Amino acid sequence: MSLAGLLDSQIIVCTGSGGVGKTTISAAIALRAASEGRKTIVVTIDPAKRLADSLGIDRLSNAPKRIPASQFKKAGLVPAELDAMMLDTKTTFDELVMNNARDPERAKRIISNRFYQAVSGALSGTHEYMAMEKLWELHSKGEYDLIVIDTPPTRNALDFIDAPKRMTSFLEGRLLKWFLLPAIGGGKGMFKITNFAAVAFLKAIQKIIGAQVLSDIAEFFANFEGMYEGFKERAQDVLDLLMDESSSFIVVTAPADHVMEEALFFADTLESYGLPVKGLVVNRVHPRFEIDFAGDAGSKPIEALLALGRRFELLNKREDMALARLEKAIPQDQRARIPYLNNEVTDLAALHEVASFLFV
Amino acid sequence: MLLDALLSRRLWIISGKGGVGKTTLAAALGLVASRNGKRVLVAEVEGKHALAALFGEDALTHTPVRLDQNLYGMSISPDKSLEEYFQDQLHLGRIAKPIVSSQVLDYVTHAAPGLRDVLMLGKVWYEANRKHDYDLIILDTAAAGHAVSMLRSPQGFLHAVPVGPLASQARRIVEWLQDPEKVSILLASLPEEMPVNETIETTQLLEERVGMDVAAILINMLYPPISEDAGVTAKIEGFRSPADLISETPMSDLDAAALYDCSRFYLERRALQQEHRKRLVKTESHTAAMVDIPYLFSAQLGKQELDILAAAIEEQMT
Repeated sequence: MSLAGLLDSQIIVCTGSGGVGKTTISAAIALRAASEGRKTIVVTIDPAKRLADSLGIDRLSNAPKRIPASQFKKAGLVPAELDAMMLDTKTTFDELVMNNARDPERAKRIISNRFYQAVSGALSGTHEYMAMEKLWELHSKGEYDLIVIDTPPTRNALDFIDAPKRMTSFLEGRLLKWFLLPAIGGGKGMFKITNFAAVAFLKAIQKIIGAQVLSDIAEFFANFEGMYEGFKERAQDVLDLLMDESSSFIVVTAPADHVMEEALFFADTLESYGLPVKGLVVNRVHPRFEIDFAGDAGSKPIEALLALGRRFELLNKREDMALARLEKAIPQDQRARIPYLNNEVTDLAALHEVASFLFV
Repeated sequence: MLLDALLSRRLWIISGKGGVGKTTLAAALGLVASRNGKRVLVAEVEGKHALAALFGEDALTHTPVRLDQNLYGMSISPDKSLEEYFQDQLHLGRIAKPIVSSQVLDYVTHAAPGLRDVLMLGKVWYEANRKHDYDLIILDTAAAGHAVSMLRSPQGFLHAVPVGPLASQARRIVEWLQDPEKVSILLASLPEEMPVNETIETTQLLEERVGMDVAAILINMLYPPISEDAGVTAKIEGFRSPADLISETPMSDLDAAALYDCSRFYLERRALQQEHRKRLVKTESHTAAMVDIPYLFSAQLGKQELDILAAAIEEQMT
């Protein structure tokens, strides 16, 4: 079991549900690639700043930072070109608006718009969308041989892939404009529209959220006019890039039934979308202790240890059931298993150890 | 006693980082409450299937189903909550459905900050304060960071939309959430580095930004001592090599090595867990009750295992 083929990729996307160790795996892959001489960056979106911890860096900004050579030396490794960054969704979105607005005045108006602030900060899908935009930006600059990107935990694999599409169609706001623009554009007051269905509708909505919100929305779309095409084009470009053979998706999971189920479904969905899934990683598999002792325990401590051994056997059995599903579904050269490590992954040495299980 | 106090509340909010076992603990807490005579509804917010699976049921929907005696489960949908809100509280009747199903509403619910969260909390509030079908609702929230923003959402909403019917609704929810006699927060954590950090951080955020105190922290998946007999545990901890085992009881070198490795793995893991547990207890125990949840070494997770967890919780809370 080894994912050695993975390291030829130009982009590696790490996916999986929450709490399985995606960030650690992303960083371990990036470390290995960098150690093999490829200039690498790992991008994480995790707000818990876990990557920062595991890379021994206090704080990452929204820009790439080189892992200091001293960190490598401390771990007994040869320093390599490895950068890391923590994606800040809001800052990325703001930069995008500033770089793409027709003029700075318009950009300022968008960024101070309350509707924009709600969308860019909290809207589900924004994290994923900005990750894609950042990926595109890093790829376009061409400074790295490999970009490893960690994804926010999602229930549905396609949340990540669909995010740009959903966001751009949201930003296009065709339907919304049909309702709103006659009302605001005409300058004749809110409800002077001839479309009666729209009037009833707007009244109902206004009753719930207030007129202020509606005019915020209208102002946002008025200022966003003309920017939409560029957003849409880039979204398609990123998608093409991800479908390319030089990109790889890996799914990280745990040896537990429902999590494994989710991961396999995840992998299937990605594949059916034409995205290259190149590995399934099971993290934190418990060790197996081959205890065959059949005699009389003879003493209380040995009796307790035998009972402990039996508890681990049950646990192994539970994990085996989940692993069997994986083995049936995924070819051997596309799966890897990482044992439960009793030291915590907080430095490069530990990441190096994790990588040694991925690339045997 | 903690349990008596908790049982007098109307809502328990369960929060914690992804992967710490929130849903399993929410289910076990549900059993504790239902066995103490309460009619309980466990409500998920994320459309996860884990809760239903623990009871051998199909995925939950917005309509509650029975999971056990006096225990019900549902998955809250913001869209359905909004539809109900239109119908039951704004009395918009028939026009509710086309509005909810239209794409326009998507913009609108996203437009007002946190409206979707307000709607879900509104549904919980409505169930607890108007319908009274259940004595207690247990809300299984999304990951911790999200839970804080979810609980802050009514305040955020009020800031953006200070007047109107939904604003009064939001105001009622804020007051309700901040009433410690009505609502309690329980955090799920793991005795590991990052989950402990996150629990400490979440406790602070809840206190500072939401004005809510954490009633209890459940430390999940703790390895218990190897033996209930402290003398036996001490003896095992004293073993320094497989040979020490052989001098205790004659056995093959292979068996001795395997048993020794097994004990070392367990003891190391346990020591690490205890370190993190201590850190959590030191920071939090003056305000929140600490509940240790044992690691389950079993072939599967189902009703029987939930019973073990429920018993452990009940024992420590009484």
